[in-house]
Order: sequence, then structure tokens, then C-alpha cells
Amino acid sequence: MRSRIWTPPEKQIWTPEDPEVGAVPCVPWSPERMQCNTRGLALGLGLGLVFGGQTVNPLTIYGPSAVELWLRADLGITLNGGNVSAWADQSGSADNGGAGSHHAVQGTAGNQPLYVASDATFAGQACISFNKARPDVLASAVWTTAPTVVGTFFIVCNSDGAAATEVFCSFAEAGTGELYQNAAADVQYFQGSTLLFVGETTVAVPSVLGVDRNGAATNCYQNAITALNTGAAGSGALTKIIVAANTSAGAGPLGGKIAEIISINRIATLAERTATMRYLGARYNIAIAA
Amino acid sequence: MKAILFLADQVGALAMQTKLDVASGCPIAGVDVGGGVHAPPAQSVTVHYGSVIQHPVNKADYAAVCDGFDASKLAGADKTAVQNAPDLTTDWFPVGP
Repeated sequence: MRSRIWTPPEKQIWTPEDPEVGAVPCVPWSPERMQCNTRGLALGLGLGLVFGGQTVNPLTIYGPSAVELWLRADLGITLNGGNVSAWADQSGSADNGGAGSHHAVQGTAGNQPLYVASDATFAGQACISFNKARPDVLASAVWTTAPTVVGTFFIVCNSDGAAATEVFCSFAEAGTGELYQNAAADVQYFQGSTLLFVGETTVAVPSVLGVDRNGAATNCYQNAITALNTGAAGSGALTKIIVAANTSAGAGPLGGKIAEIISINRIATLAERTATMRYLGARYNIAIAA
Repeated sequence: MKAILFLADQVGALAMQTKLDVASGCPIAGVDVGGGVHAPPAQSVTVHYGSVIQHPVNKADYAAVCDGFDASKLAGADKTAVQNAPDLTTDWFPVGP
């Protein structure tokens, strides 16, 4: 998509005959504007996407106090050679200054996943590739903040679709909530004793998965703003994040890739969920249904 | 994944892990890339070359992972142990949910 940038005074405002601007009319250029406020224009700049001149990312959608975890593969990466030794949380949580930080780390070289700076299957964005044979796992400490029972989380991921249980993320050590690829059949979310199906298809291609945890109900989303499945609310608490396995030791390891994880400490509103799905869909070129 | 087996010998497994760590250069400081906030150095350091794995059923048995390790970095019996390390069978790995 072509972007509008500042131009000298002789540049005219968009007209239907100007093929360089596109089909959407824009606000006339002025010295006060460094970019055209074109509806639908999205630029990947810094931490977020720009829609209508406003940066969009989880912090702007929910407010910093609601974001308890934000991992994105082009941010906060620390490498040991080509492998990831730390994936830092971008939420700004006060926990991150101490022992109970939200950063997902791996101190053993043999279990560190591979960093991919640009992956064509994720629209050229960065991702982290997990090899289940090693297994590769990133995990945080138990968070200092009291565990959250109610919340919404999103993950952008894929798996190799093999006939094995492969966990995308878990919220405690083999405990109270895990989202996983169920063999070659479907994706499942297990919340305590409540088993819910997120989707009836595997996620061999990058997908946006989401779950409202323990609200009035447990809603599961797959590449859509509307819930695919809804079940009873559970009670399991999120005490830490384990990425690509069910335990820090690597039970149920993932063979696949993860690009972004967002967790907030309350149930997202429809507007917030819509904004998040569209942000993730635009960033990774994943079609999001209504 | 190749590993040196230490049957009923946790101490031996941990000692082998230490030798592998030293020979591989651990601890190794991480290198920050990209934007955003990064984890502090103490959290991003690589401290081990490979894991020490406890058998999920026979809890007394341990294995020191050495997959891909260059055995020439060690000497004597340790070098031989790494060279002859077998592949772990699937019963050594924890199951999923």
C-alpha cells in the first residue's frame, strides 16, 4: 500500500485522475501535516500500526494498566547466537523490575528457540520458531502481581500440524489453562476442568487465536471477531507464561512459530477485541472475519 | 537428542552438565536486538549448554544432554562419553496436557 508523505507546496490534493494516491480521498496537504490522514492507510512504524494518524497497539487499545503481557517478536529480543535467550514483555508491568518479571526466558542453549527476523508466512514480520524435538521453550518466573483469573488473551501462531499435542502457551506449570494444537484434529483450550474447542481446524497457516478467560463465559476466537465457541467460565488463574509448551521442562512442546502474544487482565469489550483483531490481522496479513 | 545417561546418579549428571557448560563457554551474555524494552542481563544470560533430564517414570535416572556438542572440547573419559552418547528414547520426555 502506498503511503502519503510530505510534499512541496506545488503538490496538489488528490483527484480521481491522480493514479499515485489511490481510491480514497484524503485531507488536503498542509504544512502542519507530515502525512495524509487517509482512511484505511496503515503504516508499520515503531510499536504499532498507524490508522488515521493514530498509532494502534495493545497499549493504546486497552490502556497500559490493563495489559499484563505483550510479547512481539520484533521487540525485546535477546539472542545467544541465532537463538532466543529472552523475549521481553512490553507491557510496562512494574513486575519486570524484579524476580517475578513477565519476561519469557531460556537459560539453556539446547532449549532456546530460533529467531526469524522476517518470515514470509507472517507477512515479513519477525517470529520465533520452536523445534519440538529439542524442545524449545520460553518461560517466565511466577509473576509478582497476584494471579489473574479473568482476562482475555490473543496469540498469533502456527503449528506443523503433526499428530501430537502441541501447546502454544500455558498459564501455569501444567495447571490452569493451556491453548494447544490437538494432534492433527483441532485447536483446544483447556481451562481447569473445562475443555473448549477454539477451532475445528488446525493452524498450519498463521492464525489469530483468542480466549476470554473466566468471564461470564469462556469465549474462544479464531481469525474472527465473533466467538467460534463459547463454554462455561472456569476458575484457573494465570500465574506465569510458558511459551510453546505446557511446562517449563517442555511437556507437549510446539513445533511451529509464534509472532505475538497479548494478555489483558479483564475481558475485552467488543470494540477492543475488534481493534485487536484488526491490528493483528493487518500486521500479519491474516484475514479476520466479522 | 543425544544424551549421556546417568542411571541412579544425579550427582554424575549434574557434574557432566557443569563440564559441558564450561567447555561451551557458559555463562554467555545475551545480545539485544530490535526495539522495545529488553530483559535485564541477569535474565537473558545463557547458563547451560544442555539440560539435565530426569526420567519421568524412573525418577532416580538422569541424562545430561549433549546433542551437537563438540566432543573435542573435552578430554579423556568425558570425551568418550560424549562421543558415545545415545539418542534418548521417547520415554525420557514429559507428555503434554
